[in-house]
Amino acid sequence: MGRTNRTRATITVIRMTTDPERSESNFDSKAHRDLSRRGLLLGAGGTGLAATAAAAFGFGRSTAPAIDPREPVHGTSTIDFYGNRQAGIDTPAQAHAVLLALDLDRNDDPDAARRLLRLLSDDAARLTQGRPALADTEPELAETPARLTVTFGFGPSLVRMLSPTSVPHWLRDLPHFDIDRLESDLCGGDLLLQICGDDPVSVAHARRILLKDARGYGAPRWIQDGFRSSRGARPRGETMRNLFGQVDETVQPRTSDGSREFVVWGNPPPDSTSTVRPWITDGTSLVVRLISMDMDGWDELSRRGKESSIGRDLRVGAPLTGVHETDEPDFEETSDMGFPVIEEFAHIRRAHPHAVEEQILRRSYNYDRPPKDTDRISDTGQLFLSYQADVVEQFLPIQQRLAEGDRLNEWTTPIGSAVFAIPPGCRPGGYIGDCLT
Amino acid sequence: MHCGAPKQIRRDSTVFERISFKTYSYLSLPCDGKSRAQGPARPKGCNIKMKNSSCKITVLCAASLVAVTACNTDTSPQEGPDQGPTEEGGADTRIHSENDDLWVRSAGSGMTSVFGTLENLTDDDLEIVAAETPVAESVELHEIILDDDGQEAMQEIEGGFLIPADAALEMEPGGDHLMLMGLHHELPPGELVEFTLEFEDGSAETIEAIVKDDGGQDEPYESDDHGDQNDH
Repeated sequence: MGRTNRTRATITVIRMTTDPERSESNFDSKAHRDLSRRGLLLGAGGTGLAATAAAAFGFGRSTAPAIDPREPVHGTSTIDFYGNRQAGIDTPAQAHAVLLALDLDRNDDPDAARRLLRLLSDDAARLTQGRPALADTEPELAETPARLTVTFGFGPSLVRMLSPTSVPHWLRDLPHFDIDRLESDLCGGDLLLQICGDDPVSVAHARRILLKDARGYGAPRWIQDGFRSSRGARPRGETMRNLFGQVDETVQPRTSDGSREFVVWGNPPPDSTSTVRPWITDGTSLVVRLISMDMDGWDELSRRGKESSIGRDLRVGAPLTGVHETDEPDFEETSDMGFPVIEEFAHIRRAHPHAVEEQILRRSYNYDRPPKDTDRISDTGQLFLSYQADVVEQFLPIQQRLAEGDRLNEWTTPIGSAVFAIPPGCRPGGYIGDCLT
Repeated sequence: MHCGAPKQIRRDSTVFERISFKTYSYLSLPCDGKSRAQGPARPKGCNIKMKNSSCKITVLCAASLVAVTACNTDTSPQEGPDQGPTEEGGADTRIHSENDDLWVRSAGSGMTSVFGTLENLTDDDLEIVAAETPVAESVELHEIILDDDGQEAMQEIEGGFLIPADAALEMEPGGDHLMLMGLHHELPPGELVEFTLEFEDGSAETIEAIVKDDGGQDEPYESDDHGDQNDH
C-alpha cells in the first residue's frame, strides 16, 4: 500500500521535471502545490518521499532543465516512396532500422509473389507518407513517419521467379570466409524489407503491418533491428559511431563528386574504364552481415591498442597519420623505430581499396541485446549493411582482404550473412518489382 | 472562399448537431444508443466525409439517412476537367476512391465485404443503387443497424448509398460497406478486384479495390457465430 503510493509520487515528480509545456515561472509554485497536496493525501507512508522531492524542486531545479519547448518536432517529415530508385539507400541514415527477411512459401508461383509485392508496396507507400495502411487497425501509429522508408530486396529465388533472365550473377551466398561463424537462421531470405525511420514507434508499426500482410505468402526467416544516434542528438551529417566507440563509415562514396552514382547505381563517369554496371537500371545490391562484437575482449585493450587495431584515433576518427577525420591515411609513414604508423593489419589499411571498383556505401546499425549465454553481459554488434552495384567487383575483394587479415577480427565475428538484389522504385499504381517480367 | 447557406435534406430528424469542419475532417455523428429517440433502428456508421470545407455546417442524423451538404464557394463553379483527380479518368469520372483506399476483405469462399472511401466528384448528390463484380454472384449494399436488443446487425440498405455533392462515403468495418455474395473463387490478399457501381440515373462506373487480410475486426454478421460484438 505504502509502496504503491510511493511509486505514484515518484512518477509525478519525474513528469513534472520533464514536461516541456510547463514554463519555468509557474513550474515552481504549481509543483509545490501539487506535491503538498499529494503529501497530504499520501499520509504517513508517502510524506517522506514527497518532502524529499519537494526539497529537490526547491534547490535542484537548475540541474533538471525542462526540454526546450521550442525544439522542433520532426515526426511528420517524410521521404518519398515512389520514384525511379527506392528510398532508404541514398537517404541519410535514419536513427532506427529493422530488417525483415522472409522465406516465401512457394517459389513457383509468380502471381502470388506479385500479389504480395503489390500489397507490401501499397502499405509502404501509405505508411511512409504518414497515412494509415489499408485496414490499418492502429491508424494513429502511422501519423508520425519521421522519415520512414521501406526498401525491398529480392533474394535469388524471387528474382528467378519474376524474371528468370534477370538474375544477376552475384546474387548468391557469399563464399565462406574463415572468420565466419554463420548461423543458418541468420542467413539468406527470399524477400528483404529494410524499414528505417527516426521514430521507433512508426518503425514498429510498419513492421507489424508488413509482416501481417506477408503472412499468407511467407514467414520471417530472420529479423534484425539496430540503431544509430537519435535524430538531433548529434550534429547533422556527423559520422556514426559503433559500439566499440569507433568513428565508423568515414570513407563513403559522396553524391557531390559523383562517386555515389558510380558505386551504388553503377553509373561510372564518362572517362571511366570500369566494367561495373547495375543489374538493372536504378537497381543495386545489398550485402547484410550480422557482426557480433566481443565487448569484454575489447575492454582488455589499451586505448592505444584499440587505435592501432583500426588505424584511427578514437576521439575524432582521424587516421593515425593525420589530424582530421577525413585526412587521407598515409600508409607509407613510419615511426622513429621504423615501423609503419598504420600497422600492416590495421583495419583501414586492409579495407583500403586497391582498385576504383572497390568502394561500397555503408549504412550500418548498432545492436545491443540481452546475452544468450549466462557468462556474458551483453550481445552486442553491428548490422552491417553495404550497398554496391556489383557484389563481386566491389564488395568481395574488400571482404576477402579483411577475412585474411584484419586485427579487428579478433573482436568481431560474422554470424549472419545475406545478399539481395535491390530492384528499382515504382510509380503510383505500380509496385516494387513490377519492372521484372 | 466563404460558405453559402447550408442546404439540408431531412427525413425524420431526431438529432441535430452543429459541427465544425476542417478540410477532410471526419464527421462522426452521435448515433449511439443513448441519444436515440423513439423509432426504428438507426444506422451506426454515419460516415460521410466532407471535403473542401473549413466552415460550420448543419448536419442531421436521421433514421436511415444522413444528409450533409458541402460549403459551396461563392465563385462560380469552374469549368474544366482538372477539378478531380487526373490519373484515373477524364471528365466522366464521377466517383473516386480517395488515395485508392478501397479494399476487400480476403476470403476463401462465401461472402466478404468491401471498405474504403468513395468520393463524390460531382456538384450533385450521387446515389449508388447497385453494384456488381466479376468475382461474386451478387453485391449488396449494407448498413449496420442496432436491432431490437440494441445489438449491431447488418442489413441491406433501402434505396442505396447517397453521397451528397462534394462529400465522401466512408465504408469501414462496423459501418456501411459493400457485401460480396457467392464468391466465384478465393480472394487472396493483394489481388485486384473490379467493381461496377450503378447510380440512380442508370449510369455506371468501374472502380478497383485491393484484397487485404485485416484479421476480421469482429464484424457483426447477422448469422454470426462468434457472439461477442461488444467491448470495443
